[in-house]
Amino acid sequence: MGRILEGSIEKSWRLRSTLDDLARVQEEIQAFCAAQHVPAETLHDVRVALDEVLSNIIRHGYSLVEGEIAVQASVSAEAVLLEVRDRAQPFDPLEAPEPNLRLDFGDRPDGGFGIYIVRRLMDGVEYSYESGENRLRLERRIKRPLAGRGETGPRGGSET
Amino acid sequence: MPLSIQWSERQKPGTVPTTVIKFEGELDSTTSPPATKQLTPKLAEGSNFVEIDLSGLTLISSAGLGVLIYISKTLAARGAQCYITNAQPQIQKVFDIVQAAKGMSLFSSTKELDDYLASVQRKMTGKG
Repeated sequence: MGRILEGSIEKSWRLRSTLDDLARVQEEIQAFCAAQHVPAETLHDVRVALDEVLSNIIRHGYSLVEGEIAVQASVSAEAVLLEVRDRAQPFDPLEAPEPNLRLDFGDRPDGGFGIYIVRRLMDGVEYSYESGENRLRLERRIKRPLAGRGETGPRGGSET
Repeated sequence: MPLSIQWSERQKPGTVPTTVIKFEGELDSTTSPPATKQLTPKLAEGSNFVEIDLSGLTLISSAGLGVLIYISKTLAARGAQCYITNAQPQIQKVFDIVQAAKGMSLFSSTKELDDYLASVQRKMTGKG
């Protein structure tokens, strides 16, 4: 985490803290990762995590007041790394309490699952507050092919 | 990716009448608020047995889980049951993370649900 993957291909986006911009970045991340042949399961997990993180910043970080968010994605043969930065008030999502999974699903309060899901889908999540910015780094490793089954890896990191 | 929600009614021989709500697309932060708005007036009507068919759902985030919880609570308030069917592997993975099976009726296929509903019907009619 916090590292530059060798041979990785990177792309950055800037968005306003709105659901319209969230949807736009999601579409562009999907296209970017698909072009690098990121496996579908990996891409799904990355996009779910991004939905959780960005919607948290929009609703809680900026409290529905418009602000700016920066997203950087790096794809290599090994992993997809995401770094999400915002200038909302300092907020460490990793300190959010875990949801009460002992309750029946239908009896649970709305919300509270988001960061829990992110932590379970990602292989690494790191938060820091630097230079007036919340910085959240997410890593989803890409599983290597297993003798004719499982996910296939991306094309490789040497193409830029 | 946009979300579409289709409604239909069905009753196979030997089973109870069922309302089917079929989701296609992605249920996330962007699509969940309009989905809830679309569902609200319709959940008050229909059969007491409701199938939530997720065969066409390709992504679900916590916002989408909130929609399913909303459906479950709204139906329970009028005494109706809801059953989730056909969750694709990536959706099932999220369900497993949040232990959705605790309190929700998940069926791997519509046929599995039909078999269950047929057994309910037999009990209701006293045949078996």
